[in-house]
Amino acid sequence: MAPPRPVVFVVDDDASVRRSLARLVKTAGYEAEAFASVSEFLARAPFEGPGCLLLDVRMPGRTGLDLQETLRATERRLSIVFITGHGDVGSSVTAMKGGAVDFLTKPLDEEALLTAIRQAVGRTIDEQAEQGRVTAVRSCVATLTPREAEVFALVVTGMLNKQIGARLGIAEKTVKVHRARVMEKMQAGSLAQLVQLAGTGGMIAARA
Amino acid sequence: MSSPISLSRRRRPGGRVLVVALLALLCGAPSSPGRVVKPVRTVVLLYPEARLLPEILAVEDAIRPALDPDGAVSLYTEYLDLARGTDVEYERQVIALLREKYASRRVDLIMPVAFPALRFFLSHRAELFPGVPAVFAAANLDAVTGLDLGSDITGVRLPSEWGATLEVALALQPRTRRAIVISGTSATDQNLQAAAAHDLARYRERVEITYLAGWPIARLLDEVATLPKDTVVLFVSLLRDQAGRLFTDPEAVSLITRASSVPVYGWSETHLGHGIVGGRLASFESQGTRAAELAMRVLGGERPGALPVVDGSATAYMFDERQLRRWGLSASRLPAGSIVRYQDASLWDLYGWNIVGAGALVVALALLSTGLLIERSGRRRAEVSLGERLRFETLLAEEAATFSRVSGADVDHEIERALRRIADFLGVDWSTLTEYSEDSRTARVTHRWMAEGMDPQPVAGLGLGEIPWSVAQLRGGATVRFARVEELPEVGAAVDRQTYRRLGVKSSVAVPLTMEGVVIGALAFSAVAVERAWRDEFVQRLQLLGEVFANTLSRRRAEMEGQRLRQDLAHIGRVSTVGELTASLAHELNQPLTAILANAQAVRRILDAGQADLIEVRAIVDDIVDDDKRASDVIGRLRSLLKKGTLERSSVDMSELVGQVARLVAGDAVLRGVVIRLELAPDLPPVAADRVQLQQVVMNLILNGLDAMRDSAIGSRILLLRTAREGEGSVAVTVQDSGAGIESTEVGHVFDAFYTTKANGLGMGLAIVKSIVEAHGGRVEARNNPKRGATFSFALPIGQKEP
Repeated sequence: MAPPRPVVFVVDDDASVRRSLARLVKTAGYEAEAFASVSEFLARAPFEGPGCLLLDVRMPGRTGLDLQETLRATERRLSIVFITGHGDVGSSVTAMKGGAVDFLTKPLDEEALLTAIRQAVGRTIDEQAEQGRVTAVRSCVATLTPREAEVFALVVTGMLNKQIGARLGIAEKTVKVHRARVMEKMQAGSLAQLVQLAGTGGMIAARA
Repeated sequence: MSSPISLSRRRRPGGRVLVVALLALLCGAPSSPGRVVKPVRTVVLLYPEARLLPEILAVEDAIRPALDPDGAVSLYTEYLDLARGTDVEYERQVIALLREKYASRRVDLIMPVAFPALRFFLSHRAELFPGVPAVFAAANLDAVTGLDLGSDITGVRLPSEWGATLEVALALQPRTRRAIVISGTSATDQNLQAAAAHDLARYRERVEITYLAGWPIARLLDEVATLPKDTVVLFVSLLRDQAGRLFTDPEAVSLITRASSVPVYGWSETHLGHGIVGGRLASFESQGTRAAELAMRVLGGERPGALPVVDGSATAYMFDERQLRRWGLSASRLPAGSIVRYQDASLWDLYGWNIVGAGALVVALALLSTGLLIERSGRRRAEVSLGERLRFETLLAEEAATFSRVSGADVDHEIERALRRIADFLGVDWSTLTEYSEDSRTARVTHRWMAEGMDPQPVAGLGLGEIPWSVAQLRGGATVRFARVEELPEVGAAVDRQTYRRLGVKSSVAVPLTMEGVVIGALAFSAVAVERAWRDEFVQRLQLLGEVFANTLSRRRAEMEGQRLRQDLAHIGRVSTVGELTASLAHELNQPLTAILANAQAVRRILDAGQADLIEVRAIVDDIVDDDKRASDVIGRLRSLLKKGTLERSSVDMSELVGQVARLVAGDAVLRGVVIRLELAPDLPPVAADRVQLQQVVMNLILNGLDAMRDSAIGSRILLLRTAREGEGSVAVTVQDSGAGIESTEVGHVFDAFYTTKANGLGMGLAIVKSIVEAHGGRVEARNNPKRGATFSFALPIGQKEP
């Protein structure tokens, strides 16, 4: 079974523009879904698969920039290609800082549009994969007991068992037992792998 | 000998009677439905001549107000043109027309004025007005004396006082041996001449009396120019000379007294002031007053037979100080009780030419007329030709008033109407208004009026070079005036003479139109049918009229300049408006272009893929066509907004127009976070307006509203556009914002030019709105809303585009 085709979500208040862009991305091998406003798009069930947003900057009601902000706040990973009738520097800077893949001016150059969509879909896939890894690590971390979590946090900083025991006021032997449980629960084969997982899960940054 | 033109002209009064008769038949007798009112009494005034002469006017001016103080009397006037005398066929036609005209109307009283009219009435009474009583006026005493008037007729006789006048002449000029008596050929002329002869018969012993009856004017003038010093001239009446030329008595008096080598005496107040020394003068006003008294009694039920014929008593010795001085005659020899006029500068002379503007002119003329009226009622004596002067003054005052308020668009029409009216009054055949170019090298006849049957071509094509002498005179600010072409300088005006002869012009008067010292054109009146003289005072009045016209024309130039500036300004306003809209318009254009391009790219991919779904392709191409149209519409709207041109009115549906403009600014509104709400009334009656200008009005008001909400909270920026019918006659458009509102001290100024509260505004937007709306006969209004923001509105009168 072939992998699902990426979906391009076209959000533009102009029906004609919406329809034509949806048509164009379909001919380029994507699925297309079109929405007349930000609210309409947000009403749709959250999308987890590969795809991207083709988003008009200014629309009646909530703007494209508003949607970008909402997605980031809810940690929904869907890369955005902004399109605008009138490119102003202010909104393009905001868009790019917010992680937009590209900021294209209408009417759209076919090559530039499809390149941007390809990149955006790729980035969405990457980000969603990364998101998956983080989620997995976090779910492992969630199984640790408070003491195990303490030991884990200190192990990845490079402390020896003896030092950890002294820091936590427990026997070195006990530290050793906790450490083995941590390696097991985190599904890590080596200390190096455990350190990497801690980075993915944000543990190092959290305790730094 | 009469030319064909003069024949046709003279037949006109008959035609007018016929028209009046037809109108009367169509309209029926006047009735007053619903209310019980005093029955309207019908009185018919019969005048012997074809024209309204000064003497007749004096009589009528006295009769009309006395007889009809409350509108209970309906006065009809008939000009019988009895100068035709022996023309039996003409008289038959007149009788037929009168009979038809009055067949369906009850006539209560006939008032013949002057003996020839009385004679006509007596001759045709049985067939025209059987049993209708009559009160006559101004019928000379000797003619009436001995007539059997019957029991239904009474009236006022005109005393003939030539004996008294000749006595005065003999007292003033004791060496007088001869008297020349001048009269014309009309019925009235002959009648008055007979009366004079009757009076003067008893002086034959003392003075040699010669009657110059009906002489052609030119010969007459030659004759009086060389009279010996022991002669006096007695002017009786000259309404028509042997050649058929028509005059009023004051005109004839002016011509004769100017030419005469000896003093001229007259017998009517209407002669005084035109060059006669004076005499025992009759008052026609008094004749009218007395006749009106009798008429009222007859209408009140008294039998005319019971009211004895009375003699007009108000004759007086009246003299002209200037003429006494001219001939060196001693006022001390005047009879006791003599009235000497013109001792000071006349009222006419008090008014200089420094009257600027038609408004001032109106006031001056009104004062002049009022002054004359006061003088008139005070002394109860009319000056010579006062009635006619007053009529002309009134005419000019009315014209001056008209032109002081006429709008630029109506100037041409009003000038032509005025030319026709004045030409009618003066009895000339054509009148023209010529404008000189700024370098004074070319001229253009901008307005003209011609009597019926005249060929306008030669006049229209008349070049400045064809009348060089006249043009030079006018350019120098001088008046050109001649009664006969021969009066023009033989050498200097040889070309002019030729041209006038070729055009058939016999007499002409032209006054320059002067604006701030520069001659900008000329106003001319010409007679083709007959030679005629131009009296000084008429020429002076024409000069006044020239001032009025010059003022009007220059005001129109200024108005046109103002209009052009307004168009420029409106255009600049639109260009800057469009500048403000650039973002919005780019969006408007970008949307369809984006769709077109994307669709085209899609269809190319479909075709490249080699498995085209033709239905899909067809749908895409349809979309492309639709979006292309949409883009053209945007460009069209933009173009119409930028169009610069004159006011072009068409029928405009304001709801449709407001909707269109709202679409144009929709993008801008989105950008500014403003919600535009439309409440557009369906089925509004159209207004007659310039679509482009009104688009701009609505656009400016919307942009003003958007700007006003710049600092409002995002969710509260609402602009409400509403159209509605306002009362019976207009359509209102309101633009209501939810912005900061107008400072109370500024409400009165927001429509002023260059008034702005915006840092980067020019302050022209609302001023342009006001100027455009007012140019359409509408009005603008600005007020604060009770809660928040302001409402700007304008109303336009309902009206279809004029066909």
